[in-house]
Amino acid sequence: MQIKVRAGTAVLLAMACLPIAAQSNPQESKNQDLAVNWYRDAIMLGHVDQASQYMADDYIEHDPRISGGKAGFVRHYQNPSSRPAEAKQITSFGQGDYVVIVWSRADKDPKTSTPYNYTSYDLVRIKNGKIQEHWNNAKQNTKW
Amino acid sequence: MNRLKLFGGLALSAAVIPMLLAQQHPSNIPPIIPMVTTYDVSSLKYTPRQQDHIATADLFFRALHSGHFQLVLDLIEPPDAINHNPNDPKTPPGLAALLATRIPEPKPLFAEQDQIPSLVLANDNFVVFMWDQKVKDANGKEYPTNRFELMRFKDGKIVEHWDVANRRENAQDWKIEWCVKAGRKDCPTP
Repeated sequence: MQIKVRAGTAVLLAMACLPIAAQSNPQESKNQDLAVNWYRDAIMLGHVDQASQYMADDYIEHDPRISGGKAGFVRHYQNPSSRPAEAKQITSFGQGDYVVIVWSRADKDPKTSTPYNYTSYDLVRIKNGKIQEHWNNAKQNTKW
Repeated sequence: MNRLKLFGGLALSAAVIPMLLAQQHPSNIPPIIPMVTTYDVSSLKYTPRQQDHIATADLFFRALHSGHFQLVLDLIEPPDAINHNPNDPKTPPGLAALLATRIPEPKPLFAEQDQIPSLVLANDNFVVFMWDQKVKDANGKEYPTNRFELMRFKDGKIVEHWDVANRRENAQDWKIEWCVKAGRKDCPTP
């Protein structure tokens, strides 16, 4: 009995010593999975036939290269040359209805051809289990 | 007696040093920053720790854009701080030397209202700011896009920073320019 009490106390003490981390709640984790899977399937792999599985019908796209909501998104990523190359994820996390994904991408210096890495961002809002809105740092001439 | 003096000195230092450090920072730092946004942010709730990080990141950007470079350096943690911008110097003192060439005279710290973000997300160690901005296309016509910055925190200080910069076409010339202006002797040659 005494051992049980001591073990219980030890567990409680160990829990109290854990850093106070702002862990995502289950819904935020679910949102994060949805956003990462959507990015991989629809954007990187170009499986735009799965768009309805992930995206709301009244989807809003803020990427300045893409107009026309969900239909415009499908048209854009149907084209293999529009799809980004593989990238390493720096971090991703969900907060409330939003999820951010931060990427490290490889490129070459335009003058010296020296390889270097730069960062790009994707941020989505999720509503009723679907991607409702998407922002990134793209400009009109962005290729990735 | 000596031990008493030592303890007295330590106690005095403990009381005075934080006061001196506090004087380096402006007293009108807002506790939590405003977001000027048209987006639905009703689901975003922040913990006190996240709010502290957000306020520090906000102060960092305001200080950066208004020329308060000592304050910028106070908010990041040398020598471990890492800047992932492929154009900027990698260390905080190098960054400060560069920035001093851009804004030689500091401006009021809270004047840059266009620096107010439209979305802020935070978790335990990271803060992401997103701004709505307008840029010009090749014909000079404005169009909307977004700018982002990511920061990683440790013990309340900024230890890592990522922005969206690509390497500029004229990166080498630009590096030489800031290096010469910073009065360094080891600048690369064109």
